[in-house]
Amino acid sequence: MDELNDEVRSAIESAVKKLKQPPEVAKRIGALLGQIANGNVNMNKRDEYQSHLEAMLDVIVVDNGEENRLS
Amino acid sequence: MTSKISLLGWKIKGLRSPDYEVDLRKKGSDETYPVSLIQMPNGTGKTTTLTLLRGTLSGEAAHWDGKQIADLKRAADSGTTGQFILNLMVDDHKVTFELTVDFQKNTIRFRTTSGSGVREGFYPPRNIARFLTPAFVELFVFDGELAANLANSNRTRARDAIDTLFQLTVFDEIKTKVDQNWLDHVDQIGHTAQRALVRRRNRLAELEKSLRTLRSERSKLQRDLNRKEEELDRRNDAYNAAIAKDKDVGFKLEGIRSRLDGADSLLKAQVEKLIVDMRFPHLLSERFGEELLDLKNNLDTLKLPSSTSKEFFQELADAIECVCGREMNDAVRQSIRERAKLYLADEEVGVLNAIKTDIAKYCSDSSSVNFKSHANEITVLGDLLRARDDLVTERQALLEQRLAQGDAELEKKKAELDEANLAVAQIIARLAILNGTPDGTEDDDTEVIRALEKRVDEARQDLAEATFTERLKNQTEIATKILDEAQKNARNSLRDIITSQTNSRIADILKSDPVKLSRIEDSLVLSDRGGASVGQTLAVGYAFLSTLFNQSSYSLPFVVDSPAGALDSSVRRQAAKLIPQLSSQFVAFIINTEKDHFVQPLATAANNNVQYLTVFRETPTTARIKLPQNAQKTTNGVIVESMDFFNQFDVNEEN
Repeated sequence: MDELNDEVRSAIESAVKKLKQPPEVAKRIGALLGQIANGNVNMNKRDEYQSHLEAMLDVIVVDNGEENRLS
Repeated sequence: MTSKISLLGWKIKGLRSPDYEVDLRKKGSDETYPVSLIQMPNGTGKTTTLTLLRGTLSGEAAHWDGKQIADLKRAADSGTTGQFILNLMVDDHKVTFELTVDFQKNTIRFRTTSGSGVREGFYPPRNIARFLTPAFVELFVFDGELAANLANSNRTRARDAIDTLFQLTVFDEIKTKVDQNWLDHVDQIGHTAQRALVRRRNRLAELEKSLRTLRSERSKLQRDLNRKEEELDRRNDAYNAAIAKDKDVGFKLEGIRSRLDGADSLLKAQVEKLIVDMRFPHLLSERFGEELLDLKNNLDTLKLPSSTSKEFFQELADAIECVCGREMNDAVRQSIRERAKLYLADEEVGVLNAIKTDIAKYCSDSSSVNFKSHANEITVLGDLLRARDDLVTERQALLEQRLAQGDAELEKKKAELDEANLAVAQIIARLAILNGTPDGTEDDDTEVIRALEKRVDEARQDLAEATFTERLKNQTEIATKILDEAQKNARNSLRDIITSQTNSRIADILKSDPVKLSRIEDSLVLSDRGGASVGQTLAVGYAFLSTLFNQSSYSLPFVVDSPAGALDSSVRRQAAKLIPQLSSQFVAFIINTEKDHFVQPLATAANNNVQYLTVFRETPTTARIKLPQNAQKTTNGVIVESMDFFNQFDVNEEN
């Protein structure tokens, strides 16, 4: 997240707050963007981004619906 | 960590420019000059060099088609291959891209040499790969018009520039991947389930495809509409000018136009006033006013709403004693709670009281007076409409009279105007369909975007339910909303910061004649767009680019073709002072006529740390030029590194 621009970071945090999601969601999105900015994750390579994506989705809270864990 | 990219130089051979090699380094080191000026007469191959630089830096040249490759070939040259070699320094590592053109096979071969060795293909170092894309390279290798185009509403480069530089487009990429992740889960279940799942999946894919197509069509139409409306204005002006050639008719038409403008303004003001009044029912009908007053009087007679509300009884049911002093028990409490439902809630009492107050305020005068006053306003609207229509008829009669004179040029202008009117009307009609309000009768083939969006939502829900992936679908949709919101917030806040910083720079470069950047939409919007000169617009573009590139955690070279071509002398001087601040390396292709009022202030601003190169082809004209000793000659070209030679060289066009 170090490489992430302050404005982008704060935009993510305020979006997460607005949609009443836990702060952990902002951290996960920030981590993914930071890794992309560092050149460590290439969004054209699934094996590089998939675990970040699942970590981000996993902390998103859904009010209703059946429990479906990510496999 | 700052990543620094420097251009060390390039070599061109067998292509549509003289063969030459440029070395942008200071002698005996890998350090480049902060400013390198390359003077090339028109026709020497500047465009070819710029095209090759862009195509090689972005890797796009690997995908050039046969025509683009053929355009690189030198006329009347029997050579079958050409070569462009570009040397870069990325931090402390040298990287070379080698591009070989085969004119017989119409192919281009890439080769990359870096610390990891030589590889066939385009392999930029990973830490700078995100900058070496076609969209990004256009921001630092550009022709002088780019800066001015940033303020053109038909171009969307200003927004694109911010999105690209701050990687806001990554939000879109993540959204796509998150959605794909859900669909992959759906597919895993779908493979083992019944055929109906495949049908649902296909339906969703078709609906999403249609939605993408329609949204893309709408964006294109909105851009086209701006352009076509500008074209319509131009043709309208040309038509009016052609009409005015008959001075008598022109004079009369001018008078009508002026009166028509006045009539339109009055009409607009009256419509706005009536729309506000129409919100008051008692003004629309005398009966409304009377009935509303009756309602209020009846409520007063019945003393409604009562001052006791539902909440009073609900609180009473929780009390130990009743207001009458008797002790409460469960049966009484239950009874009070049941009967509390017969009373209005606080909020409802409040609304009723507000209605009564408003009726008293607005309908207390005689209802017929209110209504008649509004009816008079409608009569005025009718009169204004007739007056406007009379003027339109009068103008039409004059235009027909003028056309009857048999003026071929006027007829041509009229035909062009009609064509432009038709084009605008067609776009507006199509946009009306795409932006239409759904009426509930739409099916999957609808072209109403809002209706299609709803059907996509329904199809996604249907698919999620059928595959038991609702939770993941909901998480995906929440993630998409967060990413959309974050992208929008980030773009807005970055735009505000960049607007403010750009304005500070503008104040520096346009001291005598400043213009302000009002805001950044798809393009730059100047506070006085109509009154800004070409030079001012260009200077704003430079200030904007300079602000962008000074924000970032990396340093890129700027390569500009004709940086001062469109600037007048005073703005040239001011822009020249700004340029050394744009980036750590500025490489400009210029022609002889751009040097005045530009090169000297630029050299001063760069502390004379400037490299002067002149490249030209050997022709009968240039053959007479006396060359300095360090001139390097190839089979068909000459390159000279010398400030004096640069300043004295006065060939504009190759001939």
